[in-house]
Amino acid sequence: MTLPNHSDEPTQWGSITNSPERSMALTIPARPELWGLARMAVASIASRLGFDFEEIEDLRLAVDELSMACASGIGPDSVLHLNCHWSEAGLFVECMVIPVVAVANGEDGQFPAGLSQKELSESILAVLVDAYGISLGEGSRRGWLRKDA
Amino acid sequence: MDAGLQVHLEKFEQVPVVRVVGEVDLATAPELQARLAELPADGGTVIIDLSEVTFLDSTGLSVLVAGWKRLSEGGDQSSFRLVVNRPAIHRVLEVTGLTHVFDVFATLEEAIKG
Repeated sequence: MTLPNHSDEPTQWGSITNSPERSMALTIPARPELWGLARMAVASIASRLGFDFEEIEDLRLAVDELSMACASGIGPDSVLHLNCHWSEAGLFVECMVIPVVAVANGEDGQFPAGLSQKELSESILAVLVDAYGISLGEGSRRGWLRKDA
Repeated sequence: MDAGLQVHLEKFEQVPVVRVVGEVDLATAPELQARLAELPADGGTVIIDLSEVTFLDSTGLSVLVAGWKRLSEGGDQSSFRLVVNRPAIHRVLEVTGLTHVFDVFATLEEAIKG
């Protein structure tokens, strides 16, 4: 079985299977105090895949930024779905949130370089992983990242 | 689940030191923000000791930048120094360009000396 409809992701990942031995799904309340679980799960998988310490730290931060991009400013009853798939080529992480009640985002302060926090978050992702994408719709929010082995 | 965050306000050789312990993320950053707001913007030196911080994301960076901005309003002589000795924390400052904004030191003693 191939990964479901990741048409916007790099095509070389089409060969990855989502067999139970090479995938993990985690569903948690989309509350920031629980995102540590997502970081821990991805770090654990990355460790088993042989990523080095710095790469694992990069992934922890990247997953946190991805979760924040998808889940910040949403209602407290929303749920965050984290799906991981891996192969010899590396690790693919997908984050999906279906907001129960959308609320206004907080103030997005400016950084010295003129960046907003959202832009800063994306600039961090751009450096830490090999590819990523974020799609924020009214009905659902989805982000993904890819870290090559 | 939350690993928690501890923020201690201390003084070292008469210099205010904010010692941060734990993970700084969206859940815990408000605690750091609140403690930084307690520091007087009197134009002096402030040291933020991040040597016991095990995780720092863009929310934490946002709080540090806000603190730096507020304290910088105290005058040209103000100095906002960070103590960072973990590569992962240094890396996030580096990739965001904030090593050019903050004065970053490897130890508290070096930060005191400036």
